[in-house]
Amino acid sequence: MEQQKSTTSGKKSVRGFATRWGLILSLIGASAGTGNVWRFPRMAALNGGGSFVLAWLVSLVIVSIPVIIAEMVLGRATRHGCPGAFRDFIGKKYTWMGAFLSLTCIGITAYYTAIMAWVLQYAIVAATKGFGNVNTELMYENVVSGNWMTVALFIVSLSITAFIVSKGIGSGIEKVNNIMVPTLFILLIIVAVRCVTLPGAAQGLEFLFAVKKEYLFNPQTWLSALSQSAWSVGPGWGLVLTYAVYTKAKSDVALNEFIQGFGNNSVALLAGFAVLPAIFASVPTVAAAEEICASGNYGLTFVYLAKIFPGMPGGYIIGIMFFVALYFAALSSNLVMLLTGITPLMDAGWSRKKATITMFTVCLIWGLPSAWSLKFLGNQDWVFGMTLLVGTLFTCFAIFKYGTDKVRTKLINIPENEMYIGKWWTVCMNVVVPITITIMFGWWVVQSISWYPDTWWNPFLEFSLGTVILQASIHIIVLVLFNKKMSDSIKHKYFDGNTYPPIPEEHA
Amino acid sequence: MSMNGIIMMIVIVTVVWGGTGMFVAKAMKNDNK
Repeated sequence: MEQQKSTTSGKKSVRGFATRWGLILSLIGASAGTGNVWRFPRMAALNGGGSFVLAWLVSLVIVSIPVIIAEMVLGRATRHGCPGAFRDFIGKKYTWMGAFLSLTCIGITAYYTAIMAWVLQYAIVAATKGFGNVNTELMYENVVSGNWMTVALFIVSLSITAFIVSKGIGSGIEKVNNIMVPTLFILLIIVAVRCVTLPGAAQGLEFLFAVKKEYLFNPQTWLSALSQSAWSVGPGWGLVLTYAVYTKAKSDVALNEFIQGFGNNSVALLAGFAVLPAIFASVPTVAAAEEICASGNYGLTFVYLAKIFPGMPGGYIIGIMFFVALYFAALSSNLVMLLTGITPLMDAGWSRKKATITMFTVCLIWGLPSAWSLKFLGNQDWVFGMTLLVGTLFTCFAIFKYGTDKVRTKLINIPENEMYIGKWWTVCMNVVVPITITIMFGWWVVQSISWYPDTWWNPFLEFSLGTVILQASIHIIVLVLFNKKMSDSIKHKYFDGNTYPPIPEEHA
Repeated sequence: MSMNGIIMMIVIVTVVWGGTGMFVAKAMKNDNK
């Protein structure tokens, strides 16, 4: 059987995902991260509520889902991590493009684990003494910069992530996600029910759902919604591509990816039901609520929500549940991000243990500055947010070069499917996604120039265009220089151009 | 809450949560895939 192998002890161990349920939960967990909880609600409130939510749903269907379907094909067809997938799908000289996706994910894991450390610290405070007598502004300033406890919890969070990944898919990631992702849903449902039943909560729901015409026809609303979808679902990050390596050959690509996309949005919507009603029920004016939403992801969560929870009935428990849910959301995404760096090393013949220890060390060294300094973390978040968009374009390029409609008819619409994809997918991959992502990239470039009108080129400023250009250029130059070496290091080729091979031995 | 907000809330919740539930139910008919 493809799915199981015998161990020396005679026990059967699972190769790849054991069940479809486990795969679905892991895919949703990969997409549903902190951005769903702290970014979606405030972006919706600031960009016209229902108008933004409509644009966000359209972005999901015409941009995010088509790309994650493509990623699932790339990973399953080649049975390699990102570099090997690009090598076997479109040719050796494009291996660096896949490596760029992996490198980006490792860079994100490094700073994202620091954010997990903050969340863990808040969860501990919520559970031990609550936020009743805490000055949350001061606590936030202490936690995010120059804090040894944050550094320690960063190492703890990275160790937890690496330990789970080192156990493999069926015995590690899938088992943990089978518990963690449903728990995330349950915790968010409880928090949301508490928050929408607060006096004054309806005002928050009004802000989340009511359509404002002036926003509906404003390009900024659509670009904000597209950004939210792209940075939340994770199209072109290599995450789905990596999980795809471990999926069964007959598993339905299209249906699984629709579940991932809609599941991700379900988590975000739940967070919207929790966060906005809590804010609007706690402040005297709409202007004050808008000010909170404009205070950024970290300000909203770590300063204002932490301040709001103690004031509401049951707030002590709700505070614990909220930060535990946030940690689970972050961890379920961090698992696959680290795996995205590990899988290519296993393609090159490394053992899982050696690859995990190596990536743990890389993330430790790369992430420590972020654990120590908010400025460094902010810079990395900005740079990798932009390079992710480049990764999305690379994915479109790979599909286009192979033949988009050939991918659809031969590799997506296989006879075993429960859901078949029409030509709309071809149009999205060839036209809609490249154009919208390029416009989005350009929009952020223009915004970054407006932040530093005279010094936008300076690579040493936190959010400048110059820092993106410098860091991305270094990554690309190094990867292109080592393209041949990377390509030659991947030992096997499984893709025959038409069918999905079984899960290979090295990924057992 | 305005009628605009209530209607949109029902539509969005139906599409997002209903859609997720529908897709999951379809997938769970065959857990082996």
